[in-house]
Amino acid sequence: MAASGGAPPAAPARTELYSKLLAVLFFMTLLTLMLLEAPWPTETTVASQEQTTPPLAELLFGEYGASFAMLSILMGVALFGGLFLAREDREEEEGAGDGGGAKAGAAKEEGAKGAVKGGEAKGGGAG
Amino acid sequence: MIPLSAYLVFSAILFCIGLYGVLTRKNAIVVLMSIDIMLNAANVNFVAFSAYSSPFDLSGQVFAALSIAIAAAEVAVGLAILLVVYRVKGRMNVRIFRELRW
Repeated sequence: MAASGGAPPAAPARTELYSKLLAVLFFMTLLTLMLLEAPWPTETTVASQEQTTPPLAELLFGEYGASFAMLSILMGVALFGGLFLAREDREEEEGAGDGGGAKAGAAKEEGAKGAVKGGEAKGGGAG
Repeated sequence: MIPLSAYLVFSAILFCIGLYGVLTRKNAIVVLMSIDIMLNAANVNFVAFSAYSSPFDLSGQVFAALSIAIAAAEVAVGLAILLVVYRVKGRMNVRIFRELRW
């Protein structure tokens, strides 16, 4: 748990870094050797000279239409999940900081009552 | 004509760069970027194999497009989680996630 504060990187940390680098290099060498040794096809009948956008669209909206729709749902869920995660703390901070601002959320019943009775905005800050 | 093995070696190099970033860096955003580099290596493989094995079938390109969209969703959620962790802890170090164990 206790990490070194302002001291230079210790020898074990550097050793760990080198070991990770060695592992990655070994993996890359192994992968490259395997890729170079395998009898992959060496030439292609290049269809990219022709138009590839219409068949791509046909695949996306035809054969892979279900996965496309599921992916759109996934992206929507991710969007709203990200918004939810990012907004939650901001509401708490505003609630803790202002103590009943212009929002007057449903959870702040006491603050709302005070604001209705007083009719004035609390806090010294403008805004 | 560029052989298929050149694309595969390029993809392997890209993947290893991402792997190195994931293993060594401590900033969570950099780790997220390294994961995306690894995903892009997979996308290169998808397109290369599709172009060389069955040139008239564009399924590899479709898979690459879907993979890019999945990566975008992953990055959105990951960044939101990192934002919350940064607000709570005040740091972006990946070792913070050890404290999330239960």
